Amino acid sequence: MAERVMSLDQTASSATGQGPLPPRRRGALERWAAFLLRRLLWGVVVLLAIATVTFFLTHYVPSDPAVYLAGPSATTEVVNRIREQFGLDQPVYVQYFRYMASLARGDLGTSLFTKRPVFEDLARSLPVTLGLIVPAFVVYVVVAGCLGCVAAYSAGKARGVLVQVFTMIASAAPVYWVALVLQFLFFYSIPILPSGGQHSLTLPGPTTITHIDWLDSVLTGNVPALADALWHLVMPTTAIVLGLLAVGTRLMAGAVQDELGKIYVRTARGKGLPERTILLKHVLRASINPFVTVTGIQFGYLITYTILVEVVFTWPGMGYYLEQCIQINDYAPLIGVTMVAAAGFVLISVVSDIIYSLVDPRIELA
Amino acid sequence: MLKISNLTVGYSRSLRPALNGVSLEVGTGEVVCVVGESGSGKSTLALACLRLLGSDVEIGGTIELDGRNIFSLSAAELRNVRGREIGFVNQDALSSFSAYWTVGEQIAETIEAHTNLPRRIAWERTLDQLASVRIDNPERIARSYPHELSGGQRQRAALAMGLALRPRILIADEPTSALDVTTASHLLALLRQLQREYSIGVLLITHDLRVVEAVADRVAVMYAGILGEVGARDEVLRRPRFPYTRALIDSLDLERARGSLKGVPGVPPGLSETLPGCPFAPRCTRAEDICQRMSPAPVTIGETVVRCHFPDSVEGVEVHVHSVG
Amino acid sequence: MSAAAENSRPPRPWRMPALLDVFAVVAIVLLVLLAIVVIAPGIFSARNPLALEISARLHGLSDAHPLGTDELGRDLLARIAYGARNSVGVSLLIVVIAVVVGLVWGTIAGWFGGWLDAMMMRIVDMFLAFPAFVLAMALAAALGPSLTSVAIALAAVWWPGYARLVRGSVIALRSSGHVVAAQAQGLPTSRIIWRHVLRFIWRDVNVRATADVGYALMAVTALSFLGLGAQSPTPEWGLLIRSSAAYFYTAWWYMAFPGLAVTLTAVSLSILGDWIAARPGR
Repeated sequence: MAERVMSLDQTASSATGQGPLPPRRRGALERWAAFLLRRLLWGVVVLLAIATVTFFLTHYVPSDPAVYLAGPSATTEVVNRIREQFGLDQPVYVQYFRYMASLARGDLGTSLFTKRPVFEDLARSLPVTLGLIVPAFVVYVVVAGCLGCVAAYSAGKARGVLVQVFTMIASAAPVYWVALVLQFLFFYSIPILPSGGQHSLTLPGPTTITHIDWLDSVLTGNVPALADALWHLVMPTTAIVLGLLAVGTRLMAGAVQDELGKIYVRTARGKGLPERTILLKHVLRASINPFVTVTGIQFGYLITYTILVEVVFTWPGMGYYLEQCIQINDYAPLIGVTMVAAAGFVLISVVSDIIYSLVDPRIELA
Repeated sequence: MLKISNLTVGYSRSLRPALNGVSLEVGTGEVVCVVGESGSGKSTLALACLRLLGSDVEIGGTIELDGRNIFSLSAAELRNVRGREIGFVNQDALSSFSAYWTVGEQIAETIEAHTNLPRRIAWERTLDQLASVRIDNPERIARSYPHELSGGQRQRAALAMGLALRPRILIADEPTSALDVTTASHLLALLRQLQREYSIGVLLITHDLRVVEAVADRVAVMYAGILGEVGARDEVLRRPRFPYTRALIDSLDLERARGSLKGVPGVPPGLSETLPGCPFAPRCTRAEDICQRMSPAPVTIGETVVRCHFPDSVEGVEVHVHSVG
Repeated sequence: MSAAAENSRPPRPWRMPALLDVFAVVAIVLLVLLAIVVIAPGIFSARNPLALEISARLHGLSDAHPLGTDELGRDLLARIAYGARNSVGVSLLIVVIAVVVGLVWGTIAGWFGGWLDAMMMRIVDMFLAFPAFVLAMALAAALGPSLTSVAIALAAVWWPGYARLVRGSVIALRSSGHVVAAQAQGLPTSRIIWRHVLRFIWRDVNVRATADVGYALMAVTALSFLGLGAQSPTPEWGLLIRSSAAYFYTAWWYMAFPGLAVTLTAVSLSILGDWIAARPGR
């Protein structure tokens, strides 16, 4: 973790009572490199642990691992074949090494659902999930930020209370249910939004580069496809954002309220700065910190909500893929997805540490 | 000229007003020190002058800047007064600045907020200001964050920010309390110089009589929300009329003579105690019955205004006055 | 103003009850109702939640079926009422297990310190490095989808959070005045921990646990929604919503009421948690 280092008052004062000049920010690059290296090493350790845990998940569960991998509806023949194929009749440590070796090769098994290697399936569906997570996160940050400011500024008044009540209810409702309700309201009752998917079936989709339709539209300059893709993005994004809103708004409101009570705000008013500048420039800037630090926790929710929303809106990402596999008791991909999600999690925490140290000038990477 | 007339400020959750009938004038070109213990209401006075008190206060009386009442200004007019006509320097410079912007940026934004100068010119002005408070290498300091500077540098920067728009009145709330003695005396000397150079009227809040000795032209002694004594510095320090003033001076002499910190015995009243009479009565060695019952009205003796039923008419011990510049 | 200062102030006017208190009362009422439903669902519905009535499938609100019926003609009110036990009961169980395990783990780690603490906390960190829900999905799938598997899986991913919370508090309290005094008096360790340490941790744990029941409810129902939890015909709120998705164009009640049940419960728990946290003192 980045540590706080505050510079101390220098004890020896010069004749003019000034003290030495502040240090030049030297050697920053070396410190950054060391920090990144350390964090990535930790990430690798965690990934190894994850792989080991998932290994034990599949091999030391009450049920026969071969049965687990084959699915409950498989015949004895299939089960035996799988047992042989995966070497499940071998001693544990042999299995473990084979498992780790295959992971290193990127072999995550084969999906019974798609009949393709899980790795391929993930390579195709992970970008699509990202194509939903990223816009959802951006919208969430903006909306929670604004609502948090409103809630803090109008703390005792009707407007502030309304914001808090609204966000609490929005986030207490289960996200998949909210998604269904949205679908009911805006596709069925008032048909203005599409029921799901990344793009309309009637329109030719954009050329596939990243598998993310809105991004591909931008990259190929295909405006009608972009409009269509964005239109399809509205409901899923809204559902996810509503689910996360309470946490973010409360966080932001707390941070803003803390800042408003600080002395520098009074000084800023005292020197005649307009209230709007104080809020937008100073208070907001200071409130971002606590927001960023909690990003790790929020990301866990973000992943969860995205998976659930994908299912409702048949958004062809990892979540949808997973659910389809689960439906036919094909559990092999689950391991692959767990790995990917965990790896992403580790990456996010590193990134948020970096962002945090960038955002607070008082912090030096230790 | 800043004229405070019969100012009364009460926080709605407390029984006793923080300021009770305070009257004081600060002319351009003079330094008026308000001295008192913590809790005496002196910071409230400073904040009141710029209408920086919260919304849960009740205010009586007026504060006039060149004839205009601060409390009846519109929001826009008030914003104009703040920073431009009245400058403000806080006690703790570290918390006066936001930690996320450089010192120069925060001074420049003050200039930009009140003038239409482009960024480049505002920045040049900022550097000039920093130079005028005798900071070496203003460029480097301007690009530094507040936590990277020493206490003395920060306080100078805060002073530069307060004076950035050449206000005619400067209110400084305990500007030296967070500094060591050497740095503090340098800062006070600087303040004196700038004050003379630009003919600024300074309202300086402090708890330290030594600061009064160093820079004050006039001094106002505050106790529990009232001004016990207001007069010329030499007069008040040599011949204090208000018993509390005397006690303050005595404790300072004691400290100087014996090097021991004694202070005035007793504790000032909190905001939850109502006091029908003179607030200093419980601690006063000369208090009589009338002091507890009736609040003394201001009495003028020579050029000093005192609020006491029994102002000191005895010649006090000769007090050495140490002044700077 | 100075005149008012001379006299003593009039007595304080009666304060309007804070908004949170009002909400809290409503929340507590709802939760008491919920408790009754969980303990004795028969009070709310005389019907059998598993009884099929094919002739009445997907009927709307009526006297016979106050909340309508599902695709097999089962009474929705009954399924929601009996489902409360499955959904909320399991959530409660998960949190209880998580609290107990986390408490034990965190107390041992925090109290004894040293390499034991380091090792125990490394394990906790490993768990916390996973996205919990995804891990729970994997676990539930490995154990075979059922409500029991979901309970085990969620309990397994939930306890590390408490372990960390408890450990931090234990470390802080271990060096506090009254603990040292108790040790000086020669009191047995277990007694010290029980009376002096856990008493103080209780409040923080309580606040978090209350809110967590709500989050657990979301997780349980979400896993059922994905097909990893309760299986047909068990009445469970998440499963009800899953089943309702296919029919919501024609049977809006099927989707609406289970969702409302979850929402109301979660809101009440959230308010309750806030209220406990806002109460002054320990």
